[in-house]
Amino acid sequence: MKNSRNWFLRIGLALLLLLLFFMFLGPELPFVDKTLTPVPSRWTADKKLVLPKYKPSPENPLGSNKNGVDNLSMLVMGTKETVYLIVTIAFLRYLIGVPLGLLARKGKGFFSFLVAVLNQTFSFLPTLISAVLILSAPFLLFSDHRLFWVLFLLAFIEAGRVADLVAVRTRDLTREPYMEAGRVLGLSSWRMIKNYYLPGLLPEIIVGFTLDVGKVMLLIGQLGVLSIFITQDWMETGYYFKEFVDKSINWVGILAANRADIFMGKFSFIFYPALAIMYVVLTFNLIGEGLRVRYLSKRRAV
Amino acid sequence: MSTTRSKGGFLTKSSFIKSLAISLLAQVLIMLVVLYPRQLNTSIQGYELVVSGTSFNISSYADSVTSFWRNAWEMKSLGITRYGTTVEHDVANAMGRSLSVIAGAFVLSAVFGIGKGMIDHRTSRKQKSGWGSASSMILQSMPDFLAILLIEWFVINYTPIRFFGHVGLAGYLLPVLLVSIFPILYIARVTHAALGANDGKMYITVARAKGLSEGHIFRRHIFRNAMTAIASHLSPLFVYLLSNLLMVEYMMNYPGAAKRLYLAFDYSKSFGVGARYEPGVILETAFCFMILILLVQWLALVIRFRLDPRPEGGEQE
Repeated sequence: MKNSRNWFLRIGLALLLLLLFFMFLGPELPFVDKTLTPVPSRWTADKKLVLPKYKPSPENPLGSNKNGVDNLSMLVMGTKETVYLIVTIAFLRYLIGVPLGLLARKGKGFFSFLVAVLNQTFSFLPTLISAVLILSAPFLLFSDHRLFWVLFLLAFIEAGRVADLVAVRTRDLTREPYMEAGRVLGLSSWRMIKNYYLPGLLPEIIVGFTLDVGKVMLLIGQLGVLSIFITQDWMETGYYFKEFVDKSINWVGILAANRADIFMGKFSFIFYPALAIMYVVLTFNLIGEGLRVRYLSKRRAV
Repeated sequence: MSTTRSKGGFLTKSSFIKSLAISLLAQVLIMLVVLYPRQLNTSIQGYELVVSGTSFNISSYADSVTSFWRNAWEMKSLGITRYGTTVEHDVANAMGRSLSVIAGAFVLSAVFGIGKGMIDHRTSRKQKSGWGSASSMILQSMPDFLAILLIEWFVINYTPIRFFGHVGLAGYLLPVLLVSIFPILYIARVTHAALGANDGKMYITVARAKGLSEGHIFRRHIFRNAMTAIASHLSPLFVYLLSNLLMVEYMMNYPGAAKRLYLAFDYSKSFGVGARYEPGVILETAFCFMILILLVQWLALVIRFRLDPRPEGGEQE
């Protein structure tokens, strides 16, 4: 059982390596158009004019968008930003959730109540709906610091869940005999946290964090399907008509741009950004499960 | 917890009230977010349209909240929707269509999820199922919109079933199936883990040593104890189901509550939030979801108490 499970970690790390390769070396690959130049028109061999969207061909393995930009290149170029976005959000989530969970460990008092309310509030409206509600608030749409606020709020929405997990785990740890030993020795609370609680919590936090990266990817993808962007600019697209345009290149924007295809039964391109998102979710899920086996099964055996 | 067995009943009652109190507080928080003033300052400067979000202003915020409730009190309704009907009428319609889907999907995911978990448990005991766990890993990592897209592609191209809309039996079964795919996997995982955790315990070995039949041990001991663990996952299951509901209704164009909720945000790419923002619809739908989740939470408490009358956390003693 253990042997077969450890494959999770190995395969996950292999997939991660490939992801890192595309993040940092992808733009240098020969078939990737680093500048993402639009090709407004193209002549075929038999002197016919073709306009974008181009169908899949050796030049555009996955076709192009309506400006003639190569789809595959966009996916590869978008990898870095997408991964940065999701890792940042997951990191912020734990940055808020872990201290909150530690403060709420007693299961009563203000912080415990706060965690319960946070956890509950965002479970009545599913995460996705609360994210839509909050991200579409006008002061955020036109804020100069939108990126910061969006990252923070997306992290905050599920920070209660993280805090709850940490609080429960800490409470379990408190029951361990060696904790009592620490208390009897009269250690300062800082030392208790550093030397007693954190080592017990760390594996759990690392596993949870890895799995959460996958969850954030999923959430951002869902937001993309509903055309809500993380990074956006309000630009004039017609006379006196302005629209939010996602100028940066990430998978979510690509997904959103092709969203209307869903209703027309055209599936040619929309699958690929969705598949890329699935790849990332799978990678982090595999690593998370692998780490869980590696770190947490040891404890169970004791 | 040092409560004795006789206090078990009291404990359950207090957890009922606690979940109710927290829900109401959560509802107030949602109201404060929903009623946050959403006016935009638009002006034309030269040849350019300039829009800025209003900065935070406590008096306009308070005004927005009080005027909403004053109107609601005077009109005995949370407002008029974009279709000229009352909010209550619209939400009741949409909720009715969604409720049948939610109920169907909930039953389906509980039954099939627990069933799949039991099968997984049995096969994993007999042999190492590396392939089984790998395939369920891949399925779990699939974004819900990708799964819906794949099924949509299949249904449109290869079956005579109408994918969009909500006509006939297929129009009901399709959303139920789509909504329950991921919850089934979730409950299967929970069941598998709970059965595995109980199977290795000492008292099961004792029961086997006594020569009780496997079926009897499974029904009376393993499954019964695992059910308490599964019951505590019922409300996460339900929330999971609701978030799937939005994706399914949105992508199928199914006129249910989650779709109506999304419509009420009136999110548009040009202004973010349009003039047809309907706070009443959002509040009432959220309230309905809250009632549903509360009911499920209470159901979970009742199941847990019926199966295992020991007070919460008693097992750790």
